[in-house]
Amino acid sequence: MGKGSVVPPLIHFAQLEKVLNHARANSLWPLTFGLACCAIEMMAAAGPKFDLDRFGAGAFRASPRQADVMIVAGTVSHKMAETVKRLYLQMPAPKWVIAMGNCAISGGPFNLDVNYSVVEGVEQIVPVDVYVPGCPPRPEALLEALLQLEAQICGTRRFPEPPPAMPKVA
Amino acid sequence: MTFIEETLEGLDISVEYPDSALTGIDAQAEVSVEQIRPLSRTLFYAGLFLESVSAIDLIADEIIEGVYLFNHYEQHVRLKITMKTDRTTPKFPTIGDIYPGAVWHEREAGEFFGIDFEGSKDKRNLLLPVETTFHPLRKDFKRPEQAGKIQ
Amino acid sequence: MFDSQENSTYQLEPVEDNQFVLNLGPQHPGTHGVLRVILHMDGEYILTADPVLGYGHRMQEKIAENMPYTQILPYMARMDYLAALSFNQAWVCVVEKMCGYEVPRRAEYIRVLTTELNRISSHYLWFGAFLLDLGAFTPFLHAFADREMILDLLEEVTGSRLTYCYFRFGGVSSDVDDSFLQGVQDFVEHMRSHLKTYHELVTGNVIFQMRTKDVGVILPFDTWGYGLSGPVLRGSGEKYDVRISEPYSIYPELDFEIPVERDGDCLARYMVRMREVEESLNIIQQTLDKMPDGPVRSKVPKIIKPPAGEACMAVETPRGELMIHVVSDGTKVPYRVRYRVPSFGNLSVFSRLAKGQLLADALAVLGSLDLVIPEVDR
Repeated sequence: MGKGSVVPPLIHFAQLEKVLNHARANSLWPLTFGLACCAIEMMAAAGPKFDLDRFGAGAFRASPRQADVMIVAGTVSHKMAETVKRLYLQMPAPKWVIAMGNCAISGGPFNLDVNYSVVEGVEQIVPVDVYVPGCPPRPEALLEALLQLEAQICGTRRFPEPPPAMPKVA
Repeated sequence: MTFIEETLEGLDISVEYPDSALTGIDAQAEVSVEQIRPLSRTLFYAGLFLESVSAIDLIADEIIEGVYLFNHYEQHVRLKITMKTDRTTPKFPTIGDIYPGAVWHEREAGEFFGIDFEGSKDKRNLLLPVETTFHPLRKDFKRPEQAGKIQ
Repeated sequence: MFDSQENSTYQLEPVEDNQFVLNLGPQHPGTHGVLRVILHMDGEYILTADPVLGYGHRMQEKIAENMPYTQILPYMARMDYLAALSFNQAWVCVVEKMCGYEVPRRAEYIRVLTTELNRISSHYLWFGAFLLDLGAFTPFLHAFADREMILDLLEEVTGSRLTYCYFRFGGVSSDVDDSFLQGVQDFVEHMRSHLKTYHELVTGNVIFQMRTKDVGVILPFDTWGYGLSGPVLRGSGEKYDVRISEPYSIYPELDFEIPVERDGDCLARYMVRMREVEESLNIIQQTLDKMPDGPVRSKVPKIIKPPAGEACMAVETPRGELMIHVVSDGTKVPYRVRYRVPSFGNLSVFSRLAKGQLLADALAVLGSLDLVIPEVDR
């Protein structure tokens, strides 16, 4: 299991946990939580062409109490940081976080000398399990992030690894 | 007689007409701080809409210049009104009770430049958090130490 | 008449028995991003609505004061990510105006063609999101399927799906080829026939009509007081479109209508946008027919230093009038850049519209304003 669990369970049921993790991994419910540009690509990922529902992750919940994946899609400002943290705390454990886009990873294009408003990296606020780079990332990248999250949760990857985008230089 | 001349008749404001093909501004005028309220009332009743209320920090002259841009839906004239204020305690009269849309523009200019819009009922920060003390669009603004970090 | 300040100033004070304060957002599916509205409610009715902005503030005006003219261009796409090309166009046009750069005719045609495609994709996203707000899910799927076709086409020429940075000072970054033009032609024909489905599915729907008719009526008096523009304004009977009033690019050579509705309610704004899609298809068809040959980029210096002075440039984005006011001091960095964004004015009228409405109607009004919050917050 990833960092998702806040408090480790008191008694471990090893086999039962494995079964439960498979169930969890195959029905990730993301939180409807768009901050900026990346939210549109998140919507596109849920749309008809990319269809997040194929992976059991299409049930976007508007309430954090029903969600178990938080996709931080966009720029987190200082004004927003408190809300992001509160939403994370409102989600029931086990819970996971995907930092989608450069802004959520590091502040991205707004990580500048004059920055006074943008939080440089959402991992300062919440623990992040998967980072998806891009400005904004393509919906395929978000799908891959969810597959990686599944692999993190239950230990097995559902699909074969994608071929490397760039051939490795020896 | 152009539309702007007709509208501003009797207000004692000297209007210049820059080349609109090069600047996009059809008419411009510099007014004193007392004139802006009667002027904007005239403009409101003439049907000009407010494009923006903003400011420019002219740090070399120790002046903050307020820039008001108006336009008209049918006449298509962009009118730029400027007025100057002291940089240490910048103050402009509000036009928020004349143009209801100006309230947000004034709140924004207020937080970004530290301008006090006198008479405005709503002087809260619009975009920055409530506790913000700095004025980011001033030219001598330095990045706050804690920016980008969360304790 | 002038009680807007009273509307927008909300104070926490003891409320009466059946009154309460409702906090809407910043995380709420109906606010389309990170808008927060503090509502003072009496049962299901709204007494006052006070929007709280700034949750997506990204320092665009400060960044523009600290970047060379060329490097600001990518930030324009991040401001309004649904109409990145309109914002691209505003920035390149204002710099071209200041420096006096020539733009080849083919580049102007490509600019208009891609911007209008972008406008359709923006209206489709609004269409899907607005109907999601009203509780209809299927139109979202239709709109997104068609929107993906536009994104595929634009990706072919611009290289990105959403935050395009395609225009350059004095032209566009790369030429379009015949397969792209053929793809656009196919899309136009597909869309002309498919738009009927949209109208059959939604426009005539009784529930939709009842949710939107006479809801959130913008009176003519409010239009210029709040500085409205775009479809929100044209839904209230004012025929104002920057493409006609301050013509730029090749729009004067094209023949198109400006759709205007008189009612000023949510349905009128919906109809304006749907008719604008048809007009955009007309414009695209005309640019395809007239597309000239030639270069797509004129020679401009590597380092751009406009002469000292100022310039205003307005363009019509899908949401309304975007005006950029640049003050230059003759260096390679602008002295001051002011963005007058359309959603800012369009959102400021919300507290007036929401007063006295049912909560569910207020969300329909919010949806019909077509807001992009990072554009309001900049």
